[in-house]
Amino acid sequence: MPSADEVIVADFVAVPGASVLVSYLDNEAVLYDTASQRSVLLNVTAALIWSLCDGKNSVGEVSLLTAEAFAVPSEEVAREVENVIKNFGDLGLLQGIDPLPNS
Amino acid sequence: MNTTRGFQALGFSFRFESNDSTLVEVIDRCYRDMPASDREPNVLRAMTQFDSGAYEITFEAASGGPEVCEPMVFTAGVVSVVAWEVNHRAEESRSSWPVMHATVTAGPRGAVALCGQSHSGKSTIAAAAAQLGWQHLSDDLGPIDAATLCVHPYARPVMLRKGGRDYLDNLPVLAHDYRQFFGDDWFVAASELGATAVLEPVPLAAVVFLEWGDVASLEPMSKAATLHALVLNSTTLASVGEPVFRGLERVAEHVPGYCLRFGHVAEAIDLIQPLVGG
Repeated sequence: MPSADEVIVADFVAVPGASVLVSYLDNEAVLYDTASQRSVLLNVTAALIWSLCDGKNSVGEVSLLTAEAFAVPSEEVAREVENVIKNFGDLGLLQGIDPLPNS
Repeated sequence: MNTTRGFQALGFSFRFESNDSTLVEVIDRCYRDMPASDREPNVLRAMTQFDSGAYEITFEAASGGPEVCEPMVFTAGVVSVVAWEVNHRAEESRSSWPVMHATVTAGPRGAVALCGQSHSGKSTIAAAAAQLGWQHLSDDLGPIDAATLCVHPYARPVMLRKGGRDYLDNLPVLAHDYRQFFGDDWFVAASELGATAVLEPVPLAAVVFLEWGDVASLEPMSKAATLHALVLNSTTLASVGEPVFRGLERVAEHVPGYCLRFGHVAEAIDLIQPLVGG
């Protein structure tokens, strides 16, 4: 499988891993991967980005929607959104992406 | 053969047998807060092997033959191994519940689960709380019924490590023939320290996550941070998966979570007291 760095670009569509459970609580979120038994705490921004990674939106669309939600220009958030999604991939939370070793 | 009465450890019932009558007295004393078994108990047995002086520890299910748990345990480790065997089987009997790596103490406002990894001070706080006469539900394992948000009592003895005992005054005196079974870690029934034993489930008032720190503080946590910390301190999540995760989610949703930093057990007690009430 490719690494997050290799495939996550503006037209990539991120799909949550089948073993990942999510809980949204007061706009933050917790992801728990039953396969790796990893838990990840997401702040408000990361929780929104995760919720938009639904297997339909491209990374570019996630950026636009995130910018809209926080009322900021999309070019200001594009790189941050891409990095957050790459982090999800590096942590083994997305389908078809190899996690980083020891991540 | 010497034997204890039957004990009910959550869904696991057992009695303890040995050819060493002092060891049976010690186990009886350690588990004295545990309710009587409500069914034919399984048998945990420790038999002295006279050639080595060590004990062979076996488990015999109420319906089944014996299996060896540990073939050779020296005197100073025998109570610790028995406690581990009971813990493990009690936890398995509630494996579909969120079970926390936690000490649980209670007062008029309800139960407070003090969660943390080994050496985080859980048992020392449990002992100090017991000495104040607070109710004691559990040390080390906190079984939560996520449907009712109540903690069920699991009155295993409080484990007092050598370092933790330094923080506590007026500990029970253990005669030498009892002490020989404990090594560095002592096991003492909470009621022997002064706690009120609890037989019924108690509503959970707070979950508290322990951290050592120079400055004592009790900080509220967000619901998501509480869930994340519950996940990290659950003993049943890894084996069960989603049902336990949803149970922990329900706890985080309805029960306030706090981070407790402390450097001395007295500071921890002062900060926990308002949560427990009384």
